Amino acid sequence: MKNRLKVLRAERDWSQADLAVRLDVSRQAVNAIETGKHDPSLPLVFRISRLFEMPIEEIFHDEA
Amino acid sequence: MTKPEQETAETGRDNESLKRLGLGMLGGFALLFFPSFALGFTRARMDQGGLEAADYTILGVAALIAVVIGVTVWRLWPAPSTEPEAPRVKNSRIMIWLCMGVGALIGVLLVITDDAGNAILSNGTINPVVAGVVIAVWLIFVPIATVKWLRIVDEHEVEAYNNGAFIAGHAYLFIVPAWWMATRAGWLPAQDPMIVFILVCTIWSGVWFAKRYL
Repeated sequence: MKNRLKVLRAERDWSQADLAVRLDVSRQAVNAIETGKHDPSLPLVFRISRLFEMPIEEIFHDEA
Repeated sequence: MTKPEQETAETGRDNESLKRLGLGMLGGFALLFFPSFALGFTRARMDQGGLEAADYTILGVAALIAVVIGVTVWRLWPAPSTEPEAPRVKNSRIMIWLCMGVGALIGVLLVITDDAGNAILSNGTINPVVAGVVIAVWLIFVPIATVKWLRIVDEHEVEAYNNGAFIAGHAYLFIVPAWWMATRAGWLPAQDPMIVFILVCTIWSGVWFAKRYL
């Protein structure tokens, strides 16, 4: 699943560690989501959506 | 910090995590392997009539290698990271250090009390009190610590752990019957449960490590 996490994070000048603290996950988790190695669970997707104040489909989209 | 600088810093932190893990494994190996080797070697020589001059040289070289590894690990260990961390990451690290401490204590206890001086792969007799303590730790502390740790870590780490369990479980499924058949055919010695255990744990840890850090 592709996402715009890296771009959104960069727009706010947050490091991966900053975002990880805000989402209560490890920095490795943020890195894995950004690089597409880990598809986040629905609860985490909602947390990300709330954090960036954007609808989920503007952050995540499938590769089809 | 500009974007390229931030990306370079993040790559650096990835390398730092890998370096810390690699050095930790090397240091752990040195800490556990060399005392076990020294104890086992000394006991074996004592059974054969006592230590000779050459044996002291072997023990000295082993000690020297352990010291060199220890000093190298100490000098190369990355400085503590100043980056912010989620509370669950800190708690997870505390749990891992606690479990490593308990594991090291059990290892030392087994090496000291085992009649063959070989903690993990020994099938020698063991003091019933020590056996009772180790079994209690393994059946009470380890399951509780595992459940607690799984509740602390984030979903990415749980996924890495579950992937490791899945592949290690299948490895067990393939190794045990194949070895059993090979033993019956006279190709391999009788199955040693601890060798299978270590193989399965190594595969589990390897998959966890790859999924988590690579």
